[in-house]
Amino acid sequence: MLVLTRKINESIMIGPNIEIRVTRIQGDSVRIAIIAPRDLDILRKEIFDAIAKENREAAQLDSTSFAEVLKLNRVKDENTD
Amino acid sequence: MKVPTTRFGELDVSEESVITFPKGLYGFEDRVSYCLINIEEEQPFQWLQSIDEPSLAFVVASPFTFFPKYDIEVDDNDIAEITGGGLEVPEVLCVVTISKDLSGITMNLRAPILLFNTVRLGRQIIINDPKLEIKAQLKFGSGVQG
Repeated sequence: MLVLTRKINESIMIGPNIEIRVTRIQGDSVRIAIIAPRDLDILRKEIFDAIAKENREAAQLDSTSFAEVLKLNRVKDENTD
Repeated sequence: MKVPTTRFGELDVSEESVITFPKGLYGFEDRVSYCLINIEEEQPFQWLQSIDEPSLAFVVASPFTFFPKYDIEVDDNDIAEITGGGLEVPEVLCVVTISKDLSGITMNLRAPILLFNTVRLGRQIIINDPKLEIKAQLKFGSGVQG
């Protein structure tokens, strides 16, 4: 891992097209401006991890379990309506 | 072409029905070719089956079927970037799974899949709205949720 020290309004370039600039520091929060090509996905890591985890979980689903749970839910909700 | 799958046996998939996800799906960035499988008794759900990996498949469904007020905005520039220029209105599908205790079915409203059917391209996106649930509970029967 590369670790750099930057002051407010100083930037880091990642390759020729991606600029990451520190715009404000307040307590334990840092505000960061990112200038990058549109096709790059820029996400907070927590949300990226949460979605990847949800997809991995969904991919575990086997067809028999899904068919059974679907049948049960249809019956249950029809009875409550 | 013949596509082996662990859940559905060997499938016969036409080249034209293959959907390419150039960036894969989150957590599966290297799996880029998929097809949709319809099982009559499971409508309105479909399976999004990987063509490269027999064991990889997701249950998907349109979020609008269960959440009529679901609304996402995708910038034209982003659509053009995905399709390579064309401004096609995508079909929207969300990934579905069952809850851990096997009692319910949930849908990921936060990360919908956009399908551009004329160019056969797909992209999963993450909507920047924390109010959209990753595990939104689905209701069946005659009632639909708002």
